[in-house]
Amino acid sequence: MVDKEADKKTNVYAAVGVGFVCLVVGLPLWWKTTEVYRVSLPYSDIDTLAGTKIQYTVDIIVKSFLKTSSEKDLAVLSRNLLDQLGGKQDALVKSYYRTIVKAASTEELQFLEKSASLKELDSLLSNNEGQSKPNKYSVFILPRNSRISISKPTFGCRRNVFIPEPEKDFPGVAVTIAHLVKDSLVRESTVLKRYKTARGTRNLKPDKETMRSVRFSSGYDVTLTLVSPRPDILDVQWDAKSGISAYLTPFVLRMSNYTSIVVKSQVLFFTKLHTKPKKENNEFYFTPDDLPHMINPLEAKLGSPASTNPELNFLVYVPSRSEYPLYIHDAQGTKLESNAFFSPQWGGVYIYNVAPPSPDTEGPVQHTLDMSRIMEVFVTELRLLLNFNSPASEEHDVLPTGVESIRDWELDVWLRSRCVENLATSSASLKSLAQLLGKISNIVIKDDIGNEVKTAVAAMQLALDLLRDGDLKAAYLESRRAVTASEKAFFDPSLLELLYFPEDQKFAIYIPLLCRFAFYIPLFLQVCHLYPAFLAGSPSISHCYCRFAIYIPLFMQV
Amino acid sequence: MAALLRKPVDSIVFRVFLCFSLPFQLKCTINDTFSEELYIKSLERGHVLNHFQFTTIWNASIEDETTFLHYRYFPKALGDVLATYRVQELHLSQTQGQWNYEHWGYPPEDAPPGVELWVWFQPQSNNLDHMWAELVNALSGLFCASLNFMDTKTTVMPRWSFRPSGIAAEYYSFDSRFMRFAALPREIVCTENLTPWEKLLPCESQVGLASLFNAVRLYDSSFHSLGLHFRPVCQDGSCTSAGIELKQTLTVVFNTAMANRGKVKDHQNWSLKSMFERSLHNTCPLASESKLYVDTSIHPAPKTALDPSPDEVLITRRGGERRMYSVYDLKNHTSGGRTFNLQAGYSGPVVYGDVTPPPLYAQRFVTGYGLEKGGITCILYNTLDTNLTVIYMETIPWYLRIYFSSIKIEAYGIPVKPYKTHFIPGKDRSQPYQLELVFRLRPLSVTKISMEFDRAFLKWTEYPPDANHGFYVNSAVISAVLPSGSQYTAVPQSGSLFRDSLSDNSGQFFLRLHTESLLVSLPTPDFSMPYNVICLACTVVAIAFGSLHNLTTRSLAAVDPEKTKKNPLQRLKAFLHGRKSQEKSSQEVKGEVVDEDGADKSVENDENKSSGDTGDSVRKRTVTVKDVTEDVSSS
Repeated sequence: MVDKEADKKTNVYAAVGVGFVCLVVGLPLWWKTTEVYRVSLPYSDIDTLAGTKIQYTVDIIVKSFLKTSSEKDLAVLSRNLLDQLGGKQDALVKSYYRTIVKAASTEELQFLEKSASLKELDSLLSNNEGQSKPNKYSVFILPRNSRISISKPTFGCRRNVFIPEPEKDFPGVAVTIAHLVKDSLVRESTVLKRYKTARGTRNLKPDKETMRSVRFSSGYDVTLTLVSPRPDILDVQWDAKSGISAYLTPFVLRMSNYTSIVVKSQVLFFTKLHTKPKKENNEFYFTPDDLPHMINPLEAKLGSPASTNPELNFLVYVPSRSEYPLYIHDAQGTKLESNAFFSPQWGGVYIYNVAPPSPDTEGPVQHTLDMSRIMEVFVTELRLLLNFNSPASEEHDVLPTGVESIRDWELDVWLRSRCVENLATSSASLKSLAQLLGKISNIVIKDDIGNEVKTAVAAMQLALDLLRDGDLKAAYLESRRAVTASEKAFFDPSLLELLYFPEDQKFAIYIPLLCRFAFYIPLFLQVCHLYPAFLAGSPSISHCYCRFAIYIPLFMQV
Repeated sequence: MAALLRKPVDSIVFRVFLCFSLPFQLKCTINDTFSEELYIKSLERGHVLNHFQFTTIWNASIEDETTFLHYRYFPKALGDVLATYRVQELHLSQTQGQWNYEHWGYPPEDAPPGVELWVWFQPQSNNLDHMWAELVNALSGLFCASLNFMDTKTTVMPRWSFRPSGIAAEYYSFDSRFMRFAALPREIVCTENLTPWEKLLPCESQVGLASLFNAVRLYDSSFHSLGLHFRPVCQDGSCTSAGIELKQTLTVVFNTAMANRGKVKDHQNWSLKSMFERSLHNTCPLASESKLYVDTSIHPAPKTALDPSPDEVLITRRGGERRMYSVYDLKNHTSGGRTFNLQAGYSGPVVYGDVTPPPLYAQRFVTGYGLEKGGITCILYNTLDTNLTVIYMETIPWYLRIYFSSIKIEAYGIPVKPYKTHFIPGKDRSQPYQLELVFRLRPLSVTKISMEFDRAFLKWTEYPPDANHGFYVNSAVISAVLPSGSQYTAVPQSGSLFRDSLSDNSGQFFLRLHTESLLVSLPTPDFSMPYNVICLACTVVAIAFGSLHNLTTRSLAAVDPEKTKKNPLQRLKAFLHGRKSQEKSSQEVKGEVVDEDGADKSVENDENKSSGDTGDSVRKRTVTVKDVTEDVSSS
């Protein structure tokens, strides 16, 4: 009976000993060897940034050229303007305006006297020192009886807006100014839409502006393609090089600080549109329903395997003899004046009709295309794709731009909305990364990815501060750094290294281990059952060691 | 020694500087010229060689940064890749089948089976290994081939075998650091490679000679090779204007004698229609030249009759060999919507005799047996009556461990001492074995190179699918400068078009030939082994542990079943079992005698059985074995 008791005690000791080795040696060893390498990330900063409201500051100086306006009038105008511009704010993106209202200086009055046209006045005022700084706009109220008179508010090429003298109620002009500033000069709605798109808001109603423009990238590849379906009949030539240098290079150079645009050109021969145009009165035409089908067959011949930047394609199609002349009809059945169409986030196609030679002419006839006709269409489309166009309105005029085809205030709008977009994208990527890391334990975070995340967080914080201070250019550059770093961190292939570790291989590794564990179940049961007996009497020590010696080698295998 | 080597190889390369004599017809408005050519030659054993060559010459310099921005004939997809990775020269071949040098002579473009790529990067490029890795990835996307497998395990920098074929500065041409060479002998070439290759042609395959490409026929041939060669060239003799040459070649060998089987008389006749199942309707309007050349040197007219008759018959000599070409200007033959179907008819039965082998050819094979050791032997035949210096290059994967000491060159049992040897041993999983030998072949001799290797064990994840098929070893590359132009059909390095090979009157011919690729089997494990090991290990553990556990934790004790308390489950079991055994015993063995000392038996009986036995009236005593654990649990 004593023997039996002793046996039970021995069992208990053996079981406890084995359990101890398991917990103290086995578990930490297993934990250490199967651990997924992960650098600690600033999760709290990421969370804070995701909730941070983006605020941007804009400086507005209103200058009156009117001799009639008194100090008091200006003060009232200033107050009205503040009220108008303050207004209701969206919770996530806030605009803040710093306004100054004053009478024009004598120097500026002289400019008004000197200049013959509004354009001249615009450039004179802009060249005046300290006038044309990014994010700093001047609104000039022009007298009605001066040499330069305007009937509608007019935007200059730099950062000036001219508005005519109001007929009555001088301080009431604040409503007009606030309207112009919010809708056109700053384009609050665009900024907000960019933000929402980048954050991936689901229930966003699609609108044309958001859908057609491409998302931000550090570079764009623009390709101009001439499609010549029958070079044996009509040998079309174009001087793409000079066309691009005249129309696009100033624009590209202007943008080079912010995004790199590479413009290339190519010619495709014997490439046909796979859609058959409809025929009417010896004329061929495409309806809007046909147009989507035209792009896919052409797409197969575009694209470059050496670049990952978004590609913007502009195609000139010269119809062959069998489909000349070719037009595009709108939904109402009228010919489009531009004879071009536009595909959102992809590019545009322009149909360039060239009269083919008569069928009995020998050999191909050469024809050189007029680049100005082509580039006019493409520059407009490029502005649409990159979202430079402000919504056209009957209520105001815009001074025509020079070779750069981009106005200073438009560039500001672009920088502002891209900056907000980048911040939103970057924050959304980091947030998703943090969420993924929480959900999927197999993701590896290496040191360099950790650094990218830290860079992105730091750059975002800096960009938010700069934007709040009104330093638009620096804020944009920081936001670009943030978005590049966060996208790199999110899409790095090293994250996936262990993600696809096959489950069956894991099974193969753990089976020998778990099988053995299965045999320990009776052992643990035994411990449970023997525990009361152990409390009752004293164990035989020598027996216990004996058991221990048997179990230990078994566990060491594990 | 060094001078001797340089002379044959490099003099050819640098003649490009001196004798560029291409009569370009440059139009002032068009920057580029494009030409399409087809060369047809009846081979001696009833095969017909068709060699298409499409040459684009771009009037631009690769050194100009703005060159690769505006394209006309040159494909933009390729140009973007070349410009991004700063490529100076690129040579890619994708081949299915082995060229039979002994019977077919030399091909216009030599290529090994599978894919071969060699690239010279521009001198100012840095971090070439990274550039190469990115380049092969971009090209694999462009050509739909697994070029991305050309990693450090397969890439080498040969020192002497490959030199720039276009214009290049002298210091650069000798610096193999700018060069990368890799081959994938396992790669299979098919329609998906032809389509992207065709797309690079300005007229694609819609019009012109490329419209003859019928994938069904092309891939039903004895040999098929796609080539793409990009190099900078000079456009005039004094090299004042630079040009960029893109040469796309397609070589296909049809076995017409086989296709015409059943016909006793005309079995060697061929026509475009019989070979491609298509005839020619037009030419590429962008091409400045669309020509077809038929080599009738072997069976000259009147033995062979061509229909329609050629525009011109050229009789030339190349390196002492008399050649006869029938030339067709396809632009004339297809004008006015006419269809062109060239037919060749033989007036009498063709007699196949002994074929004169070309001046230099080789055979290579694996030697040895078993899965531990092996060897590679290459036999080089020199049929010329002069000495011939050759460069022999081998790239062998790291898992065939070559012994440097085992490399032997001998001719008729007499060892040949190589002039120069360049051997870089392989590194496991990172670098292949690389061997370059320069040595002399005696006149009319057979020289044998042999080496031995050990087969390495691979990790089980390193085996390719179908590992028992074997592992491919790259073709050896043999480079030489021949003093005779016998059977030599390649375009001279100073020329661009195939036409230039017709008027080549030089006395030296640079030849690069590729031997057979090899298939070596490595020790291959049974891939179900890990699973078996797991099963076995589990079984062993289960048996060993189970019995050990039983031994240490169970003890035998006598228990009186009458006094044992039962839990409800046991009672139910006993009840069911009792009824069953009662029925049984009443039916069958009423008078069963129970062993008095049945303890041995009862030990094997389980608890259920023994408790069931309690219902038996005949039994007097039962010894029941009870697990200590269960004892405790029921108490």
